[in-house]
Amino acid sequence: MALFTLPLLVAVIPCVLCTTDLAKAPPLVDERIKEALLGTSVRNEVTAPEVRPAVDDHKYDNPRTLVVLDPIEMKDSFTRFFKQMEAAGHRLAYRKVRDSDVDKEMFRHGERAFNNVVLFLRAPFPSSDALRSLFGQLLSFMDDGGNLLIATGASVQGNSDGSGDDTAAVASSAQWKELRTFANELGMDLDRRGWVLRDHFAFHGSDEGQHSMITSDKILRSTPVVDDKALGGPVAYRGVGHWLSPSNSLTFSILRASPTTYSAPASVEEDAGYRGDKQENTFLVSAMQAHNSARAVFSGSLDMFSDEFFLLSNVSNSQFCGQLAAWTCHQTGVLRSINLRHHKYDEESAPYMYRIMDNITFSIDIQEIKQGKWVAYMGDDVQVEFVMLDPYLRLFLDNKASSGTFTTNFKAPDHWGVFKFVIDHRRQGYTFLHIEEQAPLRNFKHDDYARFIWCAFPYYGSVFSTIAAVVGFSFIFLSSA
Amino acid sequence: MSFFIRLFAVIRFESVIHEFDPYFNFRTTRFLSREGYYEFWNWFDEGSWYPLGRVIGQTLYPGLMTTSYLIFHALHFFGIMIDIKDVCVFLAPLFSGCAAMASYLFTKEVTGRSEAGLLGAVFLGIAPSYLSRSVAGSYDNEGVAIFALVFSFYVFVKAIHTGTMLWGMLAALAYFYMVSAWGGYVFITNTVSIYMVAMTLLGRVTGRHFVVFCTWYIIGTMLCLNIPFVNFQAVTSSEHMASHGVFLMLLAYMASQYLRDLIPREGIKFLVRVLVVGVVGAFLLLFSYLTITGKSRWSGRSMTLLDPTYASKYIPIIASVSEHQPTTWSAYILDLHILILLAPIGLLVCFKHMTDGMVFAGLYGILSVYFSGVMIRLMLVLAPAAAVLAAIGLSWLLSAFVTYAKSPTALQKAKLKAKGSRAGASLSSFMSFGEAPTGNMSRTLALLGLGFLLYCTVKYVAHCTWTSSVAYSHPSIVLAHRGRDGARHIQDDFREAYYWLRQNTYPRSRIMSWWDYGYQITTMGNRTVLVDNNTWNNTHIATVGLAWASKEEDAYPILLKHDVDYVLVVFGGVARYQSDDINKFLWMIRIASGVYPRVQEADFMSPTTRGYSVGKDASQTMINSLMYKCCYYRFAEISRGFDYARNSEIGKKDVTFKHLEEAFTSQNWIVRIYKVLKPPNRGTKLKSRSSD
Repeated sequence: MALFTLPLLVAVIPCVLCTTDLAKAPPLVDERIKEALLGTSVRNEVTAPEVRPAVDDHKYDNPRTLVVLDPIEMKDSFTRFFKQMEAAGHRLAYRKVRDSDVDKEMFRHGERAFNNVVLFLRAPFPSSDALRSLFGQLLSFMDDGGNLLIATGASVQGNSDGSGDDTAAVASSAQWKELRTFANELGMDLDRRGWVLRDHFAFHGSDEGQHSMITSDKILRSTPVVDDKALGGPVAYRGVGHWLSPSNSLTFSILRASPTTYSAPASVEEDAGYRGDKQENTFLVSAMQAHNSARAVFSGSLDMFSDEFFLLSNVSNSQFCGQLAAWTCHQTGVLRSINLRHHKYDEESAPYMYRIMDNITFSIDIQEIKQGKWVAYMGDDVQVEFVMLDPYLRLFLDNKASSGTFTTNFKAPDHWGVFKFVIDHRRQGYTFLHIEEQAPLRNFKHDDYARFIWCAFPYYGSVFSTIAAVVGFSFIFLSSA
Repeated sequence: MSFFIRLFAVIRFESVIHEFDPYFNFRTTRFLSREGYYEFWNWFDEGSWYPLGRVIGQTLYPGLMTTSYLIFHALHFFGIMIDIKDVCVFLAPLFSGCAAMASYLFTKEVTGRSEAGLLGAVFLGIAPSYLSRSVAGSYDNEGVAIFALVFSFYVFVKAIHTGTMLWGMLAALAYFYMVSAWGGYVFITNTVSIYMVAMTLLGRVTGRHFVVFCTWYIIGTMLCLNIPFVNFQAVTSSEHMASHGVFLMLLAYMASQYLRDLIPREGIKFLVRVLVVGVVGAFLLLFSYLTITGKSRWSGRSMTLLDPTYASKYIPIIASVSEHQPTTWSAYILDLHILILLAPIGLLVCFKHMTDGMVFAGLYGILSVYFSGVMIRLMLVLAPAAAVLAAIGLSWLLSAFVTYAKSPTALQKAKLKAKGSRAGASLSSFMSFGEAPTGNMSRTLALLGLGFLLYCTVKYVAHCTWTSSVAYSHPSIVLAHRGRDGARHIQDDFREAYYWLRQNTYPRSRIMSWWDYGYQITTMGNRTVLVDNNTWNNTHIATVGLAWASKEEDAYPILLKHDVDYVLVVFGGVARYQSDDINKFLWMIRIASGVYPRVQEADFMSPTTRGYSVGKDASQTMINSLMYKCCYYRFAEISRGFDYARNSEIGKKDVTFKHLEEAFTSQNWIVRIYKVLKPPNRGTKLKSRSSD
C-alpha cells in the first residue's frame, strides 16, 4: 500500500499547501474584465434607461416649436396661422432652411431642443443637398419623439389670377426627388413634379381660371384629429396630391380630394383634350403616427395655411389648420396610463407571483389630454390580454362610472408560465398605448392542495383498518401463545 | 487521498464550478440556502424557459442540494463560516472519499476479506471515470450518487446476508437517498430485481431473500413516491415494472414453497408451475397491455439504453449530447486502465464462488458493462463495479501468488486450508504461461507475477493522477491551451461575457442562446433565458433552433414573439475553440426539423461537396442563417475571414444586420452578444410609383 501512495503523496503535498488560500482568494479575473470594459468600450454598449428630455416638461401646454421657412420673410403670409399657434401656447422660433445652424439647432448637446418642427417649403427650393441634410435631420427628430408639420407645393403668391405656377418656381428634378424620398419615408408618395390638382366641380368660387383652388369636405371623421362637426365648410386647397402606402399601417389620411379631382401638369394652360391622371384616391393631407407616437403631418398645399385662404369665404381653413396643428403637436389625441394595479380579487397589493386559477383584479387609469389638462379617457373598447406566447384571455376593461379607471376581474388560466398583461390600445388619432406587465403564474404549492379529499376515503379507511388488523392480530397471536 | 487527487482543478484554475449542469445545481443550492426548504420545494422559476417557466422544485432530484445545504448548516452551527459556493465546490471530492469507504464496505461484505475491500476502496477512489465526474467544482448529482449507489448495494448485500427486516429497511433508506440524488436510481431497482430473478432461477431463494426484498420493495417504492420528481412514476413507469413483477413472482414462489409443506408431493410440482407461470404470464400480459395503450411508458433515455439506435432515430436532442454517445474502446482504457483487465478475473471468481454477495457483484458488473457500452455517461456506473470486481480479482490473484511465494509446495496446503483460495489457485495456474495446471510453480515465477501485479497497480495510480490533473480538471468555462511558445494561456471569455450581461443589461432582459449555455447564463449572468440544459420541452428548443437556422428576416418575428432582448452565440473561429455553436449547428437543425419540417438538413449542406461547410462552397441557406451571420459578423476584419476552428476561409465576409446590433464580443471572440432592435419606428418605407 505504501508503494501505491508514494507518487500520490508527492503530488498531494503541494496541493495542500496552496489549496487553502486559492480557494478563498477573490477571483483575479474579474478585475481584468472591469479593465476590459472600461478600456475598450467601442464594441460594448450600455443600455441606460431612457431619459426624458427636459424639453418635454411643457410638452402639452407650452411646447417649443421651430418654424423653418425659406425665405424667412415668407412668414408674413402666414401670420394668422402662427398667431393661432401662439395662442395655443407655442413658443415659436423662426429659422431659414439655408441657415447652416438649423440642423444643429434641432438637437442641442445630443438632446432634442424642440417639441415640434413646422416646415413650410415653396419654390424656389433650397439646393437638393440642403434638403437632404434637413430631411435626414427631421427624420431623426421624429424618431426621437418630435412632431413634424410639413407643407409644400404651389407658391402662395401670384397665381390667384389662374395663370398657373411660373416655371421658374417649379422644383428641379433633384429637389423633387429629395422631397419624394422624404415623403416615402413617411409612407406617402408624391405626385409628379410640376403637376397640380384641379377640379372643375369642387373648386372655390374665387378661382375662375384653372380651377386649381379646389375644395374638399372629405375629412377624417370621428377621431380626435379634426372635429369635423365644428367646421363651417369645406377646406380650400391648392397644390399637389399624394398617395398612401397600403402596407404601412401607421399612415392615414386626414383630408381627401373629392372624386372629381384630377392631376395635370401646371404648365398646361387649358386641359381640354388632356386625359387627366385620375386616381381613385387622391390624398391632400395625411399623417403618420410612428411607433413612438411622434406625429408627422404632410400637406401638399402650402396655401392652405396662408392668410389668403384663411380669409376666403365659405371655407373653414382657419379652424381646420388650427386643429390640425394642435393634433400634430400633441395637444389633442394624447393618451397616458397611470396607476396600473393588479392583485388577487380579495387582496390589496400584488403578490410576488400568482397561482394558476387565482381570481385576479386588473385595473389601470387611462387619461386623455384636453386643453392642457389630463382628464379621464372615455373610450369603451380598451382590452387587456393575458399572454404567454399567445393570448390566453382577451377581455374588455370596464370604464367604471366613466372615471377613467378601467377594471376587470378574471380567473387565471389553468396553465403555469411567465404570463404578462398586455394592453395594446391603438385607435386612430390617439397616441399608442402599449403596456406590458409581467405576472408569472406558478403551479400549486405543496400546501395549496386540500389536505383531505373526499374520494380518497377508501385509502384512509384501508390505512386504519390495516393498523387495527395488525394490532388485533398481534394481540390474538400473543395471547394465544 | 481520493479527496486530494480531485483538487487539481482548483490548483490549476481556481475555485469555480465546472461544466454546465453544476451551475444549475449551484443556483438551486444557493436558492435553498437562502429561502429555506419549503420555498425550494415549491420554487417556480420564471427566469428560465421563458415564457414557459419551470417548476424547479418538482423537476429535480433534491438529494445533492439538500446534502450540501445540511453540510453548510452543520458547518455554520459549529462556527465555521464558509461560503455555500465552497461547500458546492468541495462536495464531490468529499463524497468520493465516502464512496471509497462504501466501496470498502461493499467489497468486504461481498467477499468477506478486508484486503479485497481495501483494494476496492483504492480502485474506486481514484478510478479515472469516477474522477472525471467528481473533481473539485464538478458539483453534479453523480458525485453524490455514486456514493449512494455503492452504499445502497452494500446495505442491500448486508441485508441479504443477515436476512433481517431492519437491514431491509436500511437498504430501502439508502435506496431512497439514491433516488433523491440521481435519476440513475432505476439501475438499482432493476439490478436488485434481476438479482432476485437470477436467485430464483438458481433455486437459491430463501426466506432471507424474501424478507429483505419485500421490505426493501415496499418501503423503497413508498419513499420513491415522496420525491416530487419521481412521484407516481414509481408505480406507473416501465422502469419500475421489473420490481413490481419480481415482487409478485417472489410472493407466488414463496406461497408455493409454503404449500409444499402442506400438500402431498404429487400435486406440488404442478401447482408450483401453475402459480409461477401464471403470475409471471399475467404480469407480462398486463405490462404489454399497459405499454401498448401507453399507460406505462419508457422514458426516451431508457429507450436509448435498450435500443442504442433509438435516440438517433427519434430523439435528436438526446443523441446531440456528447455524453449520450456510445463509448469508444479508448475511453475504457483511459477511464479504467487496469481495472478493465482485472475485472473479468473478479467476475470469474464471483461465479466460481456462488455466494449471495458474489452473485450480486457479478450481476452488477455484467449489467453495468452493458450500459456503459451504450452511453459514455454511464461509464460512471461501471466504475464502482469494475473497481469492486477488480479488487476481488486482484485479491485472489495476490493471495494465490503469495501462497506460492511463501513455499513452492504450498498448493496442497492452501487447497486444504482455505476453500476460498481454490479458485485463485486454479486461476493463477491458468495465468502462469501454460504450465501444467496442477504443477508446482517456482517461487521466482510467483514473485515475478507479484511484481508484475504491483507494477501494474503502481502504474494505475500514476495514470489516475495524470488523468486527474490533465484530462479531467478542465472546468470548460475557463479554457486553457498552450501557445506556440509553450506558455499556458487562459481564456476566460465565458465569464467575461456573463459578467458583461450582469452589469450592462436590464435585469429582466431575455437572452436567446443554444440550450447548452442556459444554466450558466441564468446562474452567472442572472438573466432570463429561453432554453437551458434541462431539456424538458423539445418544441421550445426546436423553436430556438428554428430561429438560429432561419434567415434574419424570418427569425426576427420569432425573436419578437419570445420577447428576446439579446442573442448570444459561442464562436470559436478566432480562439480555435472546437465545441462552438457552428459545430453544434447541425444538431440545432436536426432538432428544429423534428418539429418544423421546413428546416431541412440537406439545405444546409454544401451544394457541391454535400458536406457540412462554412467555406466558399457553403449553401445559401447556411450563409443566410442567423447563426452564420451572428458568428461571422465583422469576422473578416480581424482574421481576413479565415476560420481557425474549421480551418477554412468563410463563404461570406460582408455580413450585415437589419434587426440586430452587435452589443458585445469577448476578448477572444468566443462569446458574441447581439441586441435585438425594436421594429423600425416609421414602418416600412414606401417604394415610389413614379420616377419624376
